[in-house]
Amino acid sequence: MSASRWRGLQRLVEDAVEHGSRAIERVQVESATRPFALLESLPGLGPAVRAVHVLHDASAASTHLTIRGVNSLVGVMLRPAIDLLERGAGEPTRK
Amino acid sequence: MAVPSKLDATLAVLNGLVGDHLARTDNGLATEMALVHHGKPIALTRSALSRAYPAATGKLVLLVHGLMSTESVWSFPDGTDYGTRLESELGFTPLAVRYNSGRRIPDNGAELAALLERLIEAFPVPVEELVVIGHSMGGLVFRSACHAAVEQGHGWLVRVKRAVYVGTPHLGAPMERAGRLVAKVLRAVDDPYTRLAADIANLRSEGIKDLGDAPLTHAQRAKLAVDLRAPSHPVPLLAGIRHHLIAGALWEHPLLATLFGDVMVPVPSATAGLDASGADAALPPCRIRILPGISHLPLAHHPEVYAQLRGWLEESP
Repeated sequence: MSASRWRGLQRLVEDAVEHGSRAIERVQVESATRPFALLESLPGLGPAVRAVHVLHDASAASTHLTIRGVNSLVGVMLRPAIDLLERGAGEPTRK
Repeated sequence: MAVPSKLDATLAVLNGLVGDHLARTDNGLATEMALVHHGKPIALTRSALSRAYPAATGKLVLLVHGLMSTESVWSFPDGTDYGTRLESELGFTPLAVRYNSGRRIPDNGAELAALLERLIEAFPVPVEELVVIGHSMGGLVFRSACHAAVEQGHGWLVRVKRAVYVGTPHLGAPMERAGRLVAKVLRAVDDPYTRLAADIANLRSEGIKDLGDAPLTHAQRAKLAVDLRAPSHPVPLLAGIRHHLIAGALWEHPLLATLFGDVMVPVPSATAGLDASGADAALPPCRIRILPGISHLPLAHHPEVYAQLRGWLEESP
């Protein structure tokens, strides 16, 4: 497989992880909204549940931020390696 | 024509699924439209074409594959295909094009039109006739190319006297329209999981989505509405070309053939809504053939289809 295709595969996987992580984060946050809203409506539980809800959303956000960060970092590390492969194969460098 | 590698076949599927995204992001996995020979793209220069086709004649037959395919879809088990058989039996020079089937049909059509213009100019012998055989989406891409050629004033179109559409969904594919409706319903449900399912379903390429209504031009694409009815095609078969239509029908029962056809394309769509009994003046019945017992993919490499093709193409243009 040519270097430009390896680069394409790397970009496609990076795009898939990026978009997949955002979609799953959205589902996690949205699906938790309903039970939290129900619990928050119970007398006496409101403030505590709201705090847990905030923690839950923050936890989901930070987890997915980490996934996307690592994904981006791996991409940054792989790109120069593919550039080297490309130069070794004598192919023109793509942007 | 040699069989492309497994990698080429895998990339063809990937391009069919998300090829519009690959092209939009300039991804190296995107297939660029090219004339291919022995699995490799050929530069459209006189010298490259002379090397690839040393025994070229002025009668060309171009094979245009369908969704998620490469030119290997045309291959018989013995390695021949419709093109090479027409070469040995009727003296045609066989050509095949490969393209990113995930792009919009009008985009591929415009690119094919430009490619054919360059091909005709650079071909080592004067081109007398260009016959095009399109399988499934390939037929729509060719029809779209004809309209682009009319708009651009291309010279290649006058060389096209005959075209054959094999399992081409001229009126669109109901399976895609049903998928579109399911995605719409899922999106309308107020639930994050069903919305996620709709988002995943909507990742399918613009090429797949175009198969729902078979738009040939950007203007027509913009007009089409979302529904389950087969729209009557507002872009007629181009005048000046002798069109031939082949439809597969797995079931002989007329109702089942009408509904399911070759599994992917119902008979009325593959016959462009024309009446094979000859009630339509638009196309004589001898140019419409419904072949029972053949499903969608085998239509691209079936002895009965070839026999019909040969019969049509041995007539004078």
